[in-house]
Parts: sequence; C-alpha cells; structure tokens
Amino acid sequence: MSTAVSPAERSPGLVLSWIGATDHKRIAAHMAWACGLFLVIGGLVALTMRTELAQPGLQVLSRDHYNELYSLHGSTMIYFVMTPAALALGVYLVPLQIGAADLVAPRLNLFAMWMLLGGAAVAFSSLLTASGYPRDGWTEFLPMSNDTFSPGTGTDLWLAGVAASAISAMILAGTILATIVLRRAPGMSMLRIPVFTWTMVATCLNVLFAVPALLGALGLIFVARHTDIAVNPAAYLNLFWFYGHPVVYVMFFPFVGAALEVLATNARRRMAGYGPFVLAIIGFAATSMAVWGHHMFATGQVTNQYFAVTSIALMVFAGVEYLDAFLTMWGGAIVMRTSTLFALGFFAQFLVGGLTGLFLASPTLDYQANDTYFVVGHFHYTLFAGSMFGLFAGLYHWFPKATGRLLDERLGKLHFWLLVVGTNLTFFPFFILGNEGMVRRVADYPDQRGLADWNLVATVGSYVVAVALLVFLVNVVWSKTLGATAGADPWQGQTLEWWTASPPPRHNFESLPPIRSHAPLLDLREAESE
Amino acid sequence: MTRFGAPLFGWAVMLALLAAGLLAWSGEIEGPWLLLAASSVASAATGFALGLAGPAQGDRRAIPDISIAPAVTAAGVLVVLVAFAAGRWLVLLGLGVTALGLGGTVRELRAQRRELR
Repeated sequence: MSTAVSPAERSPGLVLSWIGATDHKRIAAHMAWACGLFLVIGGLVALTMRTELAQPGLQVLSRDHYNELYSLHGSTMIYFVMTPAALALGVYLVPLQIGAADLVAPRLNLFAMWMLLGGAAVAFSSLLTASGYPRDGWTEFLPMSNDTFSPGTGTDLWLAGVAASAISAMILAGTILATIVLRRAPGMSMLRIPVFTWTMVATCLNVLFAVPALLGALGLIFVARHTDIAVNPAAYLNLFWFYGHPVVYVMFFPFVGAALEVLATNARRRMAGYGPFVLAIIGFAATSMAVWGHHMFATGQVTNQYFAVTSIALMVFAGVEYLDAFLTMWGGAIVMRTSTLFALGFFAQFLVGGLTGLFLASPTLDYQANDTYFVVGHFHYTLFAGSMFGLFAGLYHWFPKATGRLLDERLGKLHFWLLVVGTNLTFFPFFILGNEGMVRRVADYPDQRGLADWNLVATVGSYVVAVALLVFLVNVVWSKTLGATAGADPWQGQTLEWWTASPPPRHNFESLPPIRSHAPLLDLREAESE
Repeated sequence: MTRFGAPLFGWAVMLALLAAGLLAWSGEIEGPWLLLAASSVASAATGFALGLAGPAQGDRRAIPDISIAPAVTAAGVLVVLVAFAAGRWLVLLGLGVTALGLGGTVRELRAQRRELR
C-alpha cells in the first residue's frame, strides 16, 4: 500500500472544497448526486412522453416537442446517468476494495468530474437555443443530424456536451484501471481482487477501447455539418455502434459485480466460481466489442451471419454469471435485505432483457422487430429493469459505508416492490405493442389492435415507477440524517472496504488485514471460528 | 512485468480472434474489421505499457486534498468545445483558461514535490 502524505493543512471554504475536493470518495459522491439530478430530469421527460402516449392523438405535446423529448431522455440517461453512475461506483469502491489510499491521478479524476458536469450543462443548454434540443435520439444518425435536416446550434451544443462526457468517461476508466494495476495492497494479486473490481476492469476496458469510436462518430457529424465533405452514413453507423453496443455492457458489468457481492454477503457464503467468473467477464467484455453489427442487420451493410453468431455467443458468458449467482445462493443462509431483493430482481429482470436480445440477435427475427416497440422493451429491460435494479442493490449495500447510516429497510422494501410492479407494467406491454407493429419514436399511433389499451397500461406503470423513485428519495434524505448508525461492517462484509470506518477516513485505511483471497474479511472470520 | 498483463493480453487475443473470424466470414478487409483489429492492437499495447509500469507498492505519495486547477482546466476545455457551436472566437478564450488551469496544476505539482523532500 502506498503511504499518503497530505500537503500542509488548509481550511478551504465550503464552496472551494466542493469545487476542488480530490478525494475519490467525494468525487464519486458529487457524481452520484449529479447523476441523481439528471435521472430526475430524464425521468420527468419520460413521464411526459408516456402521458402523451396514454391515448391516441396528440394531447400534451406537438410532434416536434415529442421528438426533442425522446432525444433528451435517451441522451440524458445514456451519457449523463447510467454510464457516469457505473463509473462513479468504481471511483468510490475500487480504491477501498483493493486497499489503496486514493485513485491514481486525483486531479485528473476531478477534471473528469467537471468535464461530465460541464458537458451535461452544455448539452442541456441546447434547450435554450432557437433550434432547440436535437430531434434524432441519443444516436443522432447521419444524415438526420447534418445541417440540412438539423440546422441551428442545438445539435452543435449537444455534440460538445456529449464529447465532454466521452472524454470524462475515458479519463475515469483510465485512472480506475491504472489504480487496479498500480495501487493494490500487498498480498492482493490480480486473482484476489474482489468480484466488483473485476467487473470494473471489464468496464474500463470497454470504455477505453469503445468510447474513442464515439468521439470519431461525433467528429463525423461535425464534418457533415460544417464542411462540404460527404460523410457515408454507414461509416457513422459502424463507428457509433462500435461504441453503442459495448457501452450497454459498461452500464451492466458493474451492476453484475454489485449484485454478486450483495448475494455473497447476504447468503453468508464465499462467491462460487470466482475463477470461471473472471474468465467469463473478460470473455464477455471482448465479445461485446464484436457484436455491434446486429444493430445494422436491416441496413445490409454488415456480415449478418458473423454478428448473429457473436451476439448469441454472449449468452455463454452471461450463463456463467447466472450460474455463479445461483451456486452462491445455493445452501446459503440468505438474509432477505432490501439489497438482496434488488440483486435478485436484477438477475430475474435482466434475464427478460437478455432472452429478448436473443430474438434481436437473429437477423430474420430482427427484420420484423426492427424499429418497433419490441426493441424499446428489450432495451429498457436490460438498462432499467436490469441495470437500475443492480444499481439499487449496490446503493442499499454500500450507502452505510459512504454515509455511516443505514437506509430504512421498510421504505426500501416498499421501494423495491413498487419498482417491480411499475417496471413490468411499463415495459412488458412494449413487447406486445412491438409485436402488434407499433413503431418507436412516434408521438402518435393508430387507434387499432389494442394499441391504446397497452399504451395506457404502460403509462400507468410509468407513474408507479415515479412513485417508487420518490420513496427512494425520501428514504435517502431521511436516512442520511436520522437513519440508524451503521458501524464499520453492518452486513458482515467480505471485502476490504468493510475493514475501515464508515464513512472511511480521507486516506481510507489505518491498517489492513492479511489478504489471502478475494474475500479477506471472510477469511478472518473463518479463521477465528476454527 | 506484472501479472495484470495476462488478462489484458487475453482480452487482446480474444479481440484478434474475433477480428480474424470477421475477416474469414466477410472475406475482405473493411471498416468493421479494421475497428476490431485496431482495438486488439491498442489493448495489447495498453497491457504492455501497464505491465511495464508494474505495481508501485510502498512508495510515498503526496495526495492533494483540494485543487482548483482541474476545475479551471475543465472550464477552459469546455469553452473550447462550446466554441465549435457558439463561435470560433471563443477558442482563444478557452485556450487561455485552459493554460491558466494547467499552469495552476504545474504550480501545485511543484509544491507537492517540495513537500515530499
């Protein structure tokens, strides 16, 4: 472990310390609050869209405003909520899990945080321009985003904001990965790093080698808008999806790690199949880089058979993770805390997203489902019904570590069940709507084939989701000030972060236990009980 | 070289195999193949670089608690990015603010080095 030496003691003002805090825990907390704010914005936008879609016809929004809102919703959730939230979890936990005093290059992390927050502000500022927010979704496909179809500065501000968030993500991924390599505590070999940290290795690899393609794609939009050079839309599609598919795993891997750690801790067992898991997560990350063509099946511009095979092959790696989760719980004394429920909810609901992904990995089925609500259902089952549940599992598990207070369990369980009901009421009808032929990204739809009924169900579900998130917000605010004191290790945790105080001191550890496996605290307890 | 290189090299090899599969299937060196192959080479290079760096255990580090320079630098870079939308004249302003932030970082790093002596 490196020895941290603080510069001379200073007592900066509140604002200065908020702007300039380099502690990885504070950077992560600031990112988390920002992501929470953006989630509220993106969620309110989604609620407005669902209100419009509750019945056929235009009631609340014009078509133009609807197009702005779905672009705002998608861009906010992908670039400013889920990706940064996944990385923020890593920024907070990785140094604690590997026994380090901080991330490498603390100033660079602070720079990345400000690039994220500033980038979001720049992207949102396009709402204030005469041309408004871009109307082509989070994907901003060419030629729709060129200056002929999307004139004005709104799209340019969006480009600048998203580019800033991409730069931020690459820096954070680089420093997290470098921290794992350079700052592990003595005894912590690569095959002893905790499961969550391994998922961050996979996440960072995907970010580092996929996000540059996003910058390339944004560059193509810029060229198409500001020069006379003709840009091939297929080149944009390849670059965009070379980023766009791996980023789904950026928003998935950390939450698999969080859910597995929650299950192992709450089942009071060592995680089963650590070695196969490590191989699977690296294989998963690599293969996820080679499946982007399935987003382009209908274009005729890619080798469909190859991308169908690689896309279906992902199920092998996912299967290993599910098997590990199942075997970890098998025979364990499972404590049904809120975090356990969310971890189980993550695995159950992500399965729906994964299995419907198999449909879309088949070119013949994808031709039918392409651009319908079936795709929207699949996407939201992976990212909301799946990853968001994994995120909540992690939040309930590590909130006491970050704040020193426990989240309220009754409110937590209410939050969970409301979210299960709301999520499935909202997103399952999407599969039926897609099957009935309802196309996505439309403000209106024909009043036929039961489309209105299922849309109404989905809208009711979205309000239930909003209530669930409100319950969580109340829980956080209440528990942060009045919640029960957590102590260093409220769950009998297995990894190093539970060795130190809650919240951890500035440089994380006063001492470290011997590290002989990926679950050093469990090793200690087992040694004591023998 | 640390053992960390192993998983990263494994990852790079997998990307190379996937690129080879795409080449065999499509029969031509085209954009998608290049993307995958370039990623494989880049990740192998990263694994090599990280492996060379090795773990830095037991060294003394100075970790700053507060640093304003990164926020200033970020503001400068953001102004440069916004300049592409709001007017190229902002580029100079953005570069100036970035230089100010980087200068602050250099000043802090020098102070940090003095602290460690």
